[in-house]
Amino acid sequence: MAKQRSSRGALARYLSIRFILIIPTVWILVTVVFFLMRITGNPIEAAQGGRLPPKLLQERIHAAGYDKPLLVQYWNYLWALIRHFDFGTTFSDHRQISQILLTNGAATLELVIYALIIAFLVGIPLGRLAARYHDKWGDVVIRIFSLLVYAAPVFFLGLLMKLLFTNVLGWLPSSGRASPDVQAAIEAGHTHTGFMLIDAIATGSMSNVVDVLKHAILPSVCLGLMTAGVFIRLVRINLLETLRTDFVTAARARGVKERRVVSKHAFRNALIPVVTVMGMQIALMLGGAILTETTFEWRGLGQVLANYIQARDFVAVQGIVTAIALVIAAISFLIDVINALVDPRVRY
Amino acid sequence: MRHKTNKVIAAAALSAAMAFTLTACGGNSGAGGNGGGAKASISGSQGASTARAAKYLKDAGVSTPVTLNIEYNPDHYGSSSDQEYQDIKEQLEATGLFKVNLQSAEWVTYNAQRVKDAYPIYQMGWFPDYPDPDNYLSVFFGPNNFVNNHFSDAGIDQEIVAEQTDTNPTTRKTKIEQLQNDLADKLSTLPLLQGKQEAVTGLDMTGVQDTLDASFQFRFAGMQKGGSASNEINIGTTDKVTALDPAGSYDNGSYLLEYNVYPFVEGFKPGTPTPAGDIATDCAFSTDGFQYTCHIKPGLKWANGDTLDANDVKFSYDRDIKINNPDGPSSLLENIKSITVPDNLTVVFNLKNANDVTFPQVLASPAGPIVDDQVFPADKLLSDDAIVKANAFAGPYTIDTYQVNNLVHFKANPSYQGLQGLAKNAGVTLKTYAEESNMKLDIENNAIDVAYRSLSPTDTASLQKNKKVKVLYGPGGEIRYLTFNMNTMPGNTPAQKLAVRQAIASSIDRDEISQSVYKGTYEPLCSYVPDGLLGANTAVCDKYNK
Repeated sequence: MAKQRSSRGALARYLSIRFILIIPTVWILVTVVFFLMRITGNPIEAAQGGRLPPKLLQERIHAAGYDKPLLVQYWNYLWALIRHFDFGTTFSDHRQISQILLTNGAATLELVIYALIIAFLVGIPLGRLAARYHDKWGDVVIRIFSLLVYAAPVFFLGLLMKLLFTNVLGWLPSSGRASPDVQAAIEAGHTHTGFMLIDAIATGSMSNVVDVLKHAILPSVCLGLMTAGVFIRLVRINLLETLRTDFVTAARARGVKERRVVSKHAFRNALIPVVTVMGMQIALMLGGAILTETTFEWRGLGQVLANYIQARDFVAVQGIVTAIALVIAAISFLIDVINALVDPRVRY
Repeated sequence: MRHKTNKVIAAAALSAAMAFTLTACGGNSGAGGNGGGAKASISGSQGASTARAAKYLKDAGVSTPVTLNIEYNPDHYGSSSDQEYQDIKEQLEATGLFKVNLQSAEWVTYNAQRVKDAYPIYQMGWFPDYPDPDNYLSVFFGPNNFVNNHFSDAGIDQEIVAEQTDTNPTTRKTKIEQLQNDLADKLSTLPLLQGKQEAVTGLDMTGVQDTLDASFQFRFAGMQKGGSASNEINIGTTDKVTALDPAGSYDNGSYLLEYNVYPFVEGFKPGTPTPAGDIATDCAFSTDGFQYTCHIKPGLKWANGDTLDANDVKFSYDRDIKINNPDGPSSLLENIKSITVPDNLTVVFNLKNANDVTFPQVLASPAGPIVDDQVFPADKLLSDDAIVKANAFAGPYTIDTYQVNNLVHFKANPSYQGLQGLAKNAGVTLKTYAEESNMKLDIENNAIDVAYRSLSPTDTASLQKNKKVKVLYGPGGEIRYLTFNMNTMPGNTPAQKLAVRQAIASSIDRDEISQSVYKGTYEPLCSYVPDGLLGANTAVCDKYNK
């Protein structure tokens, strides 16, 4: 009993430290992003330098406080972020960045969730199959597949899929989150969560739901396959290693059937590293989402980030990158929690 | 400030009605063909031009080859700019007279650097604020022109004022022609190509061709799907919206929305480039030409129930001028001295320059939308969401769903009494695409009913072969041209600089660029005013390419 209490205390201490570490991590990220964005000058000049008379340009720079010392600007930015969670307003289209994060962030989150589902549905069964048929032709085919989907650039895969499923077969829409009329109907509805599927369900129209799901297939598969490639190799190698361990040998010696050995004993243990890698993969997915969203006109954070980079709207870029960093830090913490709970090898 | 209109050009492929077909440019005509390249054409009819180019340089004592540093921009003037300027480089170098260094920069940098004399020779484009020849002359060559290439000529300035204030079309035409002849001698810019308006539609769409007229306004009201006024229409575009507030936007994407939801004192009667009363019953200049008086139709309302009268008109223009937003069109209102409202149905524009024949056009331009004085603040911009929420519309449509640069839903406005007439459809959903290739796929698959601005020339050529869609063209006002910085371009003296410009003008084959790069979606532009407008001629080609 005393040992159990001590173990719980250690776990709480471990998680507290992990949580506290988020603060310096985010601070470093915010600081680096802030100063990197300022390397090319102040945001107003970058965005509107050639379009404003010099006098008006100076007035705007002064009004926005960009003529103050850099450290003062940095402190003001940090203070606004801490006090009001205020990321500022974009220069190019005068939108609140917090509003962009809510609206477009929900779209990205929806895409990442779909992609993760695809990655699990494809990656884990195929990884298991590859291990089960180790070094047989099935294993070879799956390994080649995993390499291909991981190595193929997202935009290239996206173009190929659009060519096949939209141009040639005509089965799926090429872009967007819904058809224009369906999207208009959803927007006219009363539920606006930012998750298109939920909002479509709320309209009560099955055809709207089907339309939204059809639009989600290509971008989700495109982004999900990249992660599936990682999962396949990870599950395969971990399962193979687990199958060589003593407890599996002992199970076999006791006459446990091979299928049961794999599914009940080895497979569960082989999944633990997948949980760890999943956190990193979500971070990579957010990066991949920029290309996927651009390819498929998915109005998420990735696409708006690309647009703002093109417009040199550094305030917007700074806000979005900071928000993405916050999300990744939160996911990283969550993975630490899950790992601590499920993996007895984690020491704390 | 008008140069900001160039933002709208971005890859635009405007259309070309047969009436606007340009006369071939002398010696360059017929030298087209797909990918034939400049070298092929140089050996033929272009040879005479090359000899002339060599003579210009020799007579002015310019050593050859002349090194030309030419800058262009691929993200604002369309992705085909790469190919266009590669073609120009090949043509110039094929003469043996030039060594061309091509450089490109993204738009933000490009637009900032060009006004800082960073580029000696550079690409530019223009989409008119209104379909009047003056919009291709005064803003390029007059005092305070937006080109900022250090061109200044008192004689040209006088000629511009003369054509601006001549209310007789016949004599004005002569003045505009003479002005272009004189500009062809100075050659501070070199006109290259004229675009066409273009739209791709499904087979069940009607009324789209009618809106591709010489007014250059894309009107939703006349379109119909499947022959029924109860159907809604899905339209795709790649043009981005800067703001729904007319005082804060001056670009094609924003104006596309504004022309369909706001009232104007004067608009363009469908099918013509001539201004006519929209909310006004009539407008006229005073005897001395310093006043332009309009009478407003009685009983007009905004969609939210507010009264629409002369006070809204005064409020709107005063507001534009006061806010003077760098993204806005206030520079178009320079000729307004003051506005008075003798009664609720009369508005008087007091002008700085008398008999400004372009003023009615200005009222129908991006500076012209009237806004609700009960909703809009007088001294600052109003957000898009607030405008939609306040239902501050009185055009042929209102907006009930608005996601900036994503999706806008327009609902037909049953109380509209203006020039465009009641909408022939129930509503329009406008989808904004980030990638033109996705818009092409959607129009091919009938996911949208109309694709308007902008498809690449390659995509258009491909769609022309597709039997499931119609590719429609109309007269276009967009032009593409080469600009010379009069201070920094090659040449030690003004005479040498002029000789370099003349040699370049003689060496470029517009037909070849039109065919090989733009597949005919742009046509040769042989003078400063595009074909189809009053006074258009072929002054530049006549002088340098025959």
